[in-house]
Amino acid sequence: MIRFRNALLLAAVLSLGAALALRLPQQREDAGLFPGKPVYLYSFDDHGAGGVSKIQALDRSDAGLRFSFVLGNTANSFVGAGATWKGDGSVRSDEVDFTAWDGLELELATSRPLRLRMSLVSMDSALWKPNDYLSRRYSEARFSPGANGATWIAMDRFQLAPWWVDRGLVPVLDTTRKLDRVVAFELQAVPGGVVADGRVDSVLIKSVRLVRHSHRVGAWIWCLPLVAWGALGFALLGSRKRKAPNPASPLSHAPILPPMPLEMRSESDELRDRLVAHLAANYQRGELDADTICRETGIPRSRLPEILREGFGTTFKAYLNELRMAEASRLLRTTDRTVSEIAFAVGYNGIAHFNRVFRERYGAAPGEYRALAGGVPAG
Amino acid sequence: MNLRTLLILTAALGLARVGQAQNLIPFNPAFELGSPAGWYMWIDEKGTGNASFETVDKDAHSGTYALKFEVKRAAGYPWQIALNIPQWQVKPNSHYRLGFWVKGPGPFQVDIKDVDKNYAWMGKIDGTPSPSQWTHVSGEFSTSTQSGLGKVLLAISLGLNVGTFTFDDFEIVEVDPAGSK
Repeated sequence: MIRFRNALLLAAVLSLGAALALRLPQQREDAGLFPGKPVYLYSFDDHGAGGVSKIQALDRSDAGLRFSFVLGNTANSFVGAGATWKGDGSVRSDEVDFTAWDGLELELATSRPLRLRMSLVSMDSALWKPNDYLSRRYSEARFSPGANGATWIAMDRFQLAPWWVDRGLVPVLDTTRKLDRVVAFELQAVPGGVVADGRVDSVLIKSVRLVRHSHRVGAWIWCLPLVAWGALGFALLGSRKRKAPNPASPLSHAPILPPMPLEMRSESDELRDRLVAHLAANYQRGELDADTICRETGIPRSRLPEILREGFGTTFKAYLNELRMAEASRLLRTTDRTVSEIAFAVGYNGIAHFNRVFRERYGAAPGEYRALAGGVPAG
Repeated sequence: MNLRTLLILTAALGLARVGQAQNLIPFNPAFELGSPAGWYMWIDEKGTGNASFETVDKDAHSGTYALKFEVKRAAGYPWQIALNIPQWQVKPNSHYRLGFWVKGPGPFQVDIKDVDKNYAWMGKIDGTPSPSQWTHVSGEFSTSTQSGLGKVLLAISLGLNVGTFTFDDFEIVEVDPAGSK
């Protein structure tokens, strides 16, 4: 029989060992996306979407992939470069399962401080049409590169792109990120960094790597405290046979080693996710405003503008309108509900207000939009 | 102008419009956006090549801009560095003619591939440009009757030609089997 004092000592030593082991450097695995995979490089700008951003050049050299551009001065401006390892979507083996990785590690150099957006393009069998690039899912994360150009983007920071949801392929509520069949990444410059002043800027992508941290050492060391405390339990049982339990024993309050999170998410990430989920579930409430959202989610009112600006480069009102407009346009295209019904369904209490916002967003009245988009006439 | 003259002019304009074959390249065919937006540079990273492309606003074949594509280091195979023409929807059992103007350091070929058949090779068009004079490259290709053919990739394979190519005024038109527009 293990003596109680020895068991206590063993448990303490093994717990300490486990705690120390978990502080050892994690075993890192990585896989190069660029360089590393045969890729098809491309550049793009917002010209097709009515913007004025302009890609200037795309340059693959030993230093990496550089794109030069002039960013437009509207809130929705974008310009960037992408790399795909699959051009058509017909060869499944070309797809990469990003869910098996913790995040992306980027090495970048920018001509001056810029706000960037990383998009991941993934296949979705339920949506895919051979010749429609929009039938792939776009998930994105905004960031500003670190001072030395090194950037880490945890995989759970990627959110389904609002503009893609806006295309109406899926309901607004379907914000599922599907990162198991990724076929391309795109890096874009977006507003939020320097003022768009017409200067030529550039982004050099030195490398993009998938990274995960495994815990081969830590995994089995996690067992040690269990073994130790198990042994202690046996010792206690044995001691109970010999003497009455001691309610004052410090062991009765001994904490179990708490599980240590393998990867920390920032508070902003948590708040942003909470906000997105709450808005997606409540956007149809007409009375919804920033104060209400903050009260219901517990997000500090003073943090809301920063969260929306950092996460999406927008304001509360604009974000909420985008959600409502995206769902309204989808309903106009795919249902025969009247414009009034749709306006109320997406959270507008007045048809005139809805019509005005819709026209500003799509350049047409809802009825005209429905006709132009080949939607179902109202029944 | 009397009514008869007006009708004749209207009819003549209509006929002229019917006679013009539509350029099927969907975006930025002559680079007059002043940007290579819509055009794609393919680099097979298994190769050793380096390249860049950008629009330039001097010495265009027509208009203001042309596309400069510089192969800085040769790849192992021609197709490992390519300029890809924006894809467009093709019809089965149809005939098309590609034409464009080019200056460049050496011969190349345009590989024609069926996107929906995992880029199966459909044929090629040869180009032999001059380094200093604009040369017109032209060739035709046909799609088969098979179903599923949706898009064709036209890739100008430049991987072995170190130097600067300049391209302008791309056009793809549908032609009848005899070859006339």
